[in-house]
Amino acid sequence: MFKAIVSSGTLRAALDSVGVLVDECKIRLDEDELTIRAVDPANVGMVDLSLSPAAFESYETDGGVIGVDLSRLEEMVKMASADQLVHLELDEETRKLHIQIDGLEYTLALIDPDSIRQEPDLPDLDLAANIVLEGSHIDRAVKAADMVSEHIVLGVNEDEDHFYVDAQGDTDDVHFELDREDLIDLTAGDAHSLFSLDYLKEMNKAIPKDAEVTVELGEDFPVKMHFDIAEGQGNVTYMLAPRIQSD
Amino acid sequence: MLVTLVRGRVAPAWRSLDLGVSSSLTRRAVAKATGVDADRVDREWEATGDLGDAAAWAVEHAAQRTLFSTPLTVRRVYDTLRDLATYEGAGSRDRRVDAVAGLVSDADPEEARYVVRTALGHLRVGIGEGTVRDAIALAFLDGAGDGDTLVTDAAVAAVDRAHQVTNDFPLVATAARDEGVEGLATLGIDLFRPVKSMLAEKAEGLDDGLDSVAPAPSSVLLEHKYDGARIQIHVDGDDVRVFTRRLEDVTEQFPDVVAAVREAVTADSCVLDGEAVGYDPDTERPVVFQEFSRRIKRENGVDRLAEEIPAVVFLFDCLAVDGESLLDAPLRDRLDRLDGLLDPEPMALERATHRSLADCDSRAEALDVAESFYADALDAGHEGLMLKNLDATHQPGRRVGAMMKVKPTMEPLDLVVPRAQYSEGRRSDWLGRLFLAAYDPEDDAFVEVGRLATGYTDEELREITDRLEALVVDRDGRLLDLQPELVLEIEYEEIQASTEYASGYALRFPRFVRIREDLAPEDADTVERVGELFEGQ
Repeated sequence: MFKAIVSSGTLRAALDSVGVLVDECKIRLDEDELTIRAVDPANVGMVDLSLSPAAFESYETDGGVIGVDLSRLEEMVKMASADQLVHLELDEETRKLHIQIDGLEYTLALIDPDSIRQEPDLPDLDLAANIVLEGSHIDRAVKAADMVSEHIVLGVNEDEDHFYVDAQGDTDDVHFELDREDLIDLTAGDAHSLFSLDYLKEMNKAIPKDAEVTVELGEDFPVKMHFDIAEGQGNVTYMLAPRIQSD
Repeated sequence: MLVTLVRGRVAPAWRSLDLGVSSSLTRRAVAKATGVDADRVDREWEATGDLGDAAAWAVEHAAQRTLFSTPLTVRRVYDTLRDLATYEGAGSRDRRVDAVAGLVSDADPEEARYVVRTALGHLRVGIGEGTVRDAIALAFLDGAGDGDTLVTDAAVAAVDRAHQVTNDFPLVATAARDEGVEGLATLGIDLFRPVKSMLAEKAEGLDDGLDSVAPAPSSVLLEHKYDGARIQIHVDGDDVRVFTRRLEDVTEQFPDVVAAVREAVTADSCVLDGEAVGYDPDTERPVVFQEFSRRIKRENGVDRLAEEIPAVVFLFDCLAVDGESLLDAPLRDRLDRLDGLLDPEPMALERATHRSLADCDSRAEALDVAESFYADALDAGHEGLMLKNLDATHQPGRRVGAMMKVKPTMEPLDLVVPRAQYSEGRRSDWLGRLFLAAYDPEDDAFVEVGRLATGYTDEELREITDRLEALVVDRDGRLLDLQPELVLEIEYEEIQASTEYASGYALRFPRFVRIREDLAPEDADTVERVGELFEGQ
């Protein structure tokens, strides 16, 4: 059994954060939270999302897992304006999800969860640097880097006590620095890793500009980014594997 | 599963499964999985001429690390590739890229090479049907598991028969493993699962053919030999499917044949063997095969083309009726059954024109009758004559002496084009110099037997060029290496021994006759056949 009412804005924020990496996912409907964990097909990017029942207007479930075609579900939810409420109800018999938005009624056929890739365990990483900054800073860094290159270096200079972004193109370079003043918080440690902008651009789309984002970085290690959604009643963690630095 | 994959396929040919994996889709997937620039993948592809090699290189030089890695299993590769065929509609291309990228991302370089080649449908690792057949016999029959490496002819024959009837190695392997030789013997003809066509041997002449095909002329049946496409028709009530000799489903292309079958066949279910021939609706004379073959390829405007070139099917065998297999019944019984279920419809569905020699009192009289029947066939615009032994069983996929063909000219060869070169002068934009190769089923390879430069019209040459340019795997100046795909029918003056070509033979004065749309590369004449013709000259 699953029956919930949620604002379209919250639902879209949650779905979009996953949809930037995969087309299909499993949604776990537990009594104490709704969670989604998914890895992109190339095993490079991963998302881990949870929404507490408090993020919903109402939330009733007795557990279970459903498989959904994310792009179909996102399309349907987009029919609602941000403050409209979306009613969700699972039909156990037909394995379909009924979606109701102000008189509009959709029925979404679900996917067999077993046909979707198994969710991986979250790798346990001990990352040296911890940066807390505004989503808009990440947006700025990604957009600037995208003008000149396909890859981006994220790093922390422990001695200088700042977070930096480097992008080297064939002809042009971009460098962007944020010191303690600009940041919400910084735990400095030597960190320097190269990432694919293709992935970061997609993740950036789902990061609210006004969110407080915690970035964990290491030396040639995956980066972790956490932020809250649904006014603190949900959170998203992204993890992205680094590229191999040739020099 | 494994026995299908080793031949670079995920389903038997007759299951018309299209994975929808193109080269450009694959290079995107490789780039995505490895983080190597798509342009860099292209350069490696051009350098090696093989996208599988390029994929192996890209994995070796991957620029992107992954968060996890799950080892590839045969099951996962098989399932993933098979699922590709089910993706449809918007976004299906991206999903295919993702699926292939997922496999490449978990592959080591060697795995990536073969996964990519398999996805693209050109895995050639030198494993022919014979190898798979022997492997099944070795693994599951004689002395399986005790390290014995000898297979008996009986075991191989059992596997072979089962495969010719079912064309489904996974099914054959499973039966051999679970139930041994007895299990294989129970595999029979099944509706909508085509069996390989029984093939005819070439007779050196009518006289010679009469002597070889049967012990006495009284059990010989003569039939017109038509210049069309061999087809197998499966009927189950109103459900009718038409397969080619390549075991491809061409039901969609032949609505007229389907309609004729529904009208003229009275059995509830049956499997029929025959030849579809195109004719000119005004004159009712057969059209040349080149014309008719357009119908096999056509996907759009099928109905219009069916009106322009209607087909008549000449039936000459019945392999099953109402659930009963007739493969082991003599031809005379099979033909009785055929007559029993057929209410012939002239110029749509009829028995092949035939004559028995049972009423001839002497061999001399039989030869006379055969000669005049042969002349009739040629007069009617047909290719020649078939001689059949009425007491013989049907042996799928076999070229057997119980069925012989007589044709007026030196038998043309069906050969594959593995390399081609642009012409010089007026035709310099066209691939006018074609290397010709015969098939070597043992090694699943193509061995060159000559070079072709004449016999085509400009129009035919343009078509050949278009077709071949889509098959390029490597390019050295004006010389192209091709995927051996296109089969041509070739006439020639004689076969010479030669050191110039790997086969040891060279065709003298080869001439292009036509493209054989109906033949797969593996259906081309074999090196062995070329050798026999050489010996027989």
